[in-house]
Amino acid sequence: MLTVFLFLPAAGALMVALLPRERSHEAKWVALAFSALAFLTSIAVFLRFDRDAVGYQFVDRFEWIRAGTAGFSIQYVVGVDGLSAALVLLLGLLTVVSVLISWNIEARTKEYFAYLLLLETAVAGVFVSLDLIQFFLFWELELVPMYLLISIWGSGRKEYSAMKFLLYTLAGSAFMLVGFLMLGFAAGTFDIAALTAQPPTEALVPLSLIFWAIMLAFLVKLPVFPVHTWLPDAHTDAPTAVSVMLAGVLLKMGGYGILRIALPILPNEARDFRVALAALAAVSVIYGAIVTLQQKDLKRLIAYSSVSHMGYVLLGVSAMGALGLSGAALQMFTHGAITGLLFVMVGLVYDRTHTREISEMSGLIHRMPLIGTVMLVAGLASLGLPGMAGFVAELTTFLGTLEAHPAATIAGIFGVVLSAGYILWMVERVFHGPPTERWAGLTDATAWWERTAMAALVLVILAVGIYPALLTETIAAGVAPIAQIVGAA
Amino acid sequence: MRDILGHSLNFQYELLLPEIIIAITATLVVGADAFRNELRLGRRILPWLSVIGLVAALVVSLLWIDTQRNFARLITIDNYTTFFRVLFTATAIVVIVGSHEYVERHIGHIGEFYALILLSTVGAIYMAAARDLLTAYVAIEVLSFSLYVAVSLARNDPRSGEAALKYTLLGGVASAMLLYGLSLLYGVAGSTQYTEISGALAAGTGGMTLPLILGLVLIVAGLGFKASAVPFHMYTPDAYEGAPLPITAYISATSKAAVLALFLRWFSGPLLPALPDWQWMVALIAVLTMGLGNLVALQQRNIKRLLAYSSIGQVGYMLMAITTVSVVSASALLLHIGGYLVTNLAVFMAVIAFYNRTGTEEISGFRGLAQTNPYLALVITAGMFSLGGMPLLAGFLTKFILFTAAADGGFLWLATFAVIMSTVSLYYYLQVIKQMYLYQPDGDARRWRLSPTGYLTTAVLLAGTVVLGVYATPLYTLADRATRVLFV
Amino acid sequence: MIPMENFLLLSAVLFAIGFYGVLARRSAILILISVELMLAGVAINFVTFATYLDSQAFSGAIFALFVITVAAAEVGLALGIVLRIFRERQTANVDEVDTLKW
Repeated sequence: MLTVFLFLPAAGALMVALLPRERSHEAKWVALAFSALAFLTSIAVFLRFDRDAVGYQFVDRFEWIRAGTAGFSIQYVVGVDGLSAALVLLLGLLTVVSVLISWNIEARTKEYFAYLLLLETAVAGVFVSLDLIQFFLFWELELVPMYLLISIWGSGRKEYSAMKFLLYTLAGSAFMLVGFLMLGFAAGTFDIAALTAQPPTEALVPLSLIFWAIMLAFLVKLPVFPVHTWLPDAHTDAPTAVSVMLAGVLLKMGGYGILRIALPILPNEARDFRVALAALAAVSVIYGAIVTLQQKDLKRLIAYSSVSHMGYVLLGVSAMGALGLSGAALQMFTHGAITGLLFVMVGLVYDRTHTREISEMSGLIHRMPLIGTVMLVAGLASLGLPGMAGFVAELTTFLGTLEAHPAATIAGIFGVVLSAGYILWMVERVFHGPPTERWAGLTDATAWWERTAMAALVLVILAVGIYPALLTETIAAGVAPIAQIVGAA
Repeated sequence: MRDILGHSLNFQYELLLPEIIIAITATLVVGADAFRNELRLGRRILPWLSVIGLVAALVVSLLWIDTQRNFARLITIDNYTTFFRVLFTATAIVVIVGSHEYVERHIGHIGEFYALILLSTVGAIYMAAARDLLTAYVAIEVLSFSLYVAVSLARNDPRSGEAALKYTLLGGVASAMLLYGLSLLYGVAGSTQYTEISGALAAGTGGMTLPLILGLVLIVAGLGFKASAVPFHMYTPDAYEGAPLPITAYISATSKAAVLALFLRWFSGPLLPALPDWQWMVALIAVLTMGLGNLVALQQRNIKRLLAYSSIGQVGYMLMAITTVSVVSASALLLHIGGYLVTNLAVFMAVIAFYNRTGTEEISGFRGLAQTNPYLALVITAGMFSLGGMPLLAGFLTKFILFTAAADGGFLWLATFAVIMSTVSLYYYLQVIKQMYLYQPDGDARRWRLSPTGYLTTAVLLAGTVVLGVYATPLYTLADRATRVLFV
Repeated sequence: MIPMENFLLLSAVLFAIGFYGVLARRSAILILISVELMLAGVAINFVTFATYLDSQAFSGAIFALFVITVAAAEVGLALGIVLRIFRERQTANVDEVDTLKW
């Protein structure tokens, strides 16, 4: 079933690419069909996931490359636990949303949707791979569609931003591959489950070096201060749907990698450096929030708020306890949904106003009440209003970390205060205030695809906020073994 | 029959049948070209005649799988030889099929062109098959001489003669250095036979350490020249740029692979006992080659020069496998050579098809190719990503196994450096891909198609690149069987 | 009997002179002659080793024969290319043959 989920979008990408030129307007329908099918599969995976069972589920496995005398093999092996099941669900949802809000793409439609679907396959591969090398394969594969999507359909300094994104990630992943190789050699296997069960105790170089080599890639992706600078550029210049994917699921690859690989395989090193990680997290939260406060560009504002919010993920991780890790995982999911929605809304606003300068907008809620309301909902969720998804995640994180890192946690809570500041300020400036002549002709979100996309995400945010157990039980089931490993170390 | 020292020699000419077929085909091709008017033959017949000869040779060479025989103690026929026989004849077939339109338009002496490719293939095969320094040397020169002339064959292009001159002169110097090294090796070991050299070196050099080290330095330098390893690479970009495109492709494929095959045969056999004396040298030039090749490639504007520097970088990766010589790294090397040939030829054949249409070699000329010919853009993208080591393509997997073999052999720093350089290389490949996908075509934006043979070669190579990237086990098994005979 | 070292020294000197010539000369013809000097050194080396160390099989002497033959072929080939360049540009000086970046 996971294999189906993994390759369904790729098949869709192939089909889109093979559409004859004169039928390229049908590309979006094909893309929608395939992403919807993949979404249904991901729902099925999530629902049929057995929370009480131990280990990975829905495992498909075969030996891929057997390098006979070299003494190692690379397998194709996919499987999910509670952690990846939630992320797979998020991925399925956000891809559908992305396809929907790309409905108006006119330039090179076929290619666009093909890359978007390919992106889904790549990210899905990262979330379900249980072999280090296979993980790395998909990690790299994701770069190609992403680079092309930003640099062809983006705006502003799109080529610069796409290249910056690419170089940052590549630099990180080069170190990651070296780290993986050394882990694999030390243990004689690349199988994540096997490595988790029996972490290598020594390698050719100190394990702490390996830990940081691997962490570097994840921290760049997350991203945390000071390796975050690619993110605002990439977000600002990417087309809306790509921003949604980037904020919604690509950043999660970093957090997922930390939880799936860095912590369980190198638990001692992770514990040794937990204070450093907490410090990084706290700096990211505060720095991200302060920089966000100064932004004048709507999209850049949301982008920097991502840096701040992803800091919570690292903060939760640094506590190395079950509660903190659950909070981190939950934060990944909710940030994906909330920031995804924020980017959707910014995209819709931009489609109408053709500017992202906050100072130029005023009183938009009079022209588009629906967009304004949904933006408010997303903003409140983002600042952690109780009853919305963000609150649950942040509360869990802080509860988990308070004991381990009180100072960093207080910094994190201060970050929430700051985020209330910038979100409310932004909503106030853009949607309230006197309506101006300039925006008199704007229309609200009326197209079915705009409404469907918004409704889906709002629904998820409210559902998780009101009844968190939907998600938390599954996530807790996935995080528990990881917490046990790092806790015992 | 026995030689003076009492070794029994067998002159089983049938063992050399594939090369005999190729050489006869070469003669026929030259003859058919010379008497074209008398025989009323079209020029089209020449490439097909060559291909028929090569296919025959390829089929015949499959007769000696898993044999272990030699011809008069000069040439070994074993799995290693068979591996490279198949590889080199297949490469020659691909180059000829993929470039015959180019040849008709841009080559002055068509008959010689095909004959030289055939003859150089013979040289390349014997470089892998030799078991005596003498045969190896003659094989090197057969390959090199053919290529010196082939480089000069471009019609109406002054760069061609210039490239040939530089290639010939520097190649001559390299041969002389290599030979001086070999003569010192002969002085130390007292024989030119691989087996006896290995025995003599293993028994100790008896105070002859200095000549041995000097000899090794010269041998590494000479072979480094032929493989265009840094710092002996100066002629490579010029030769690549000046040569006709199919010859550039051929040099980057067969010539490189043949030198590496010889490298491996020597350094895993006769020179293995002297490992501590040469390991550092090879490691050093491997690092230099990877570093400089990839870094200089970043600044290139001409596609041939870009590919020249990228191939220098690739040689660096391959030399890494020589450094850590072992069964594992040897089979990894053969696998990588196989993957590199397929990928590199895919890129070159696509560039040739592109040149046939547009006549430009500038990277900026690739603007908007994704719109005028999406298929060709796809081939070039896949090939370049594969060379840069993107996953799911041949280049990633073969490099990956190569790097792990190096790390496994205790050269972790070398493997780490290689990974970083490989990442750097993605940047310049991306520059080409960027031109094709991001920009609108200049001027003529109409769609165009390839010729049938252009489609055929690129499609086969593209499929090879993808299949090797996803499922390389069969080739790995073959490479493993081929290298087992080296370490006995 | 003349000690082997004398011959080896001769060959080394020839090789070194040839190598110097390659680096110092700018005319393609003179570079070619220098390469031939290097090869002559090689041939002497082979013959010396064959005579003093390997008098039974003398494979070194055979090697020397091959070196001489191949060297002759190389001269022919290189001169052909030099001729072509000379016809195109009326010079055989490698510094003036500089369409390509050297």
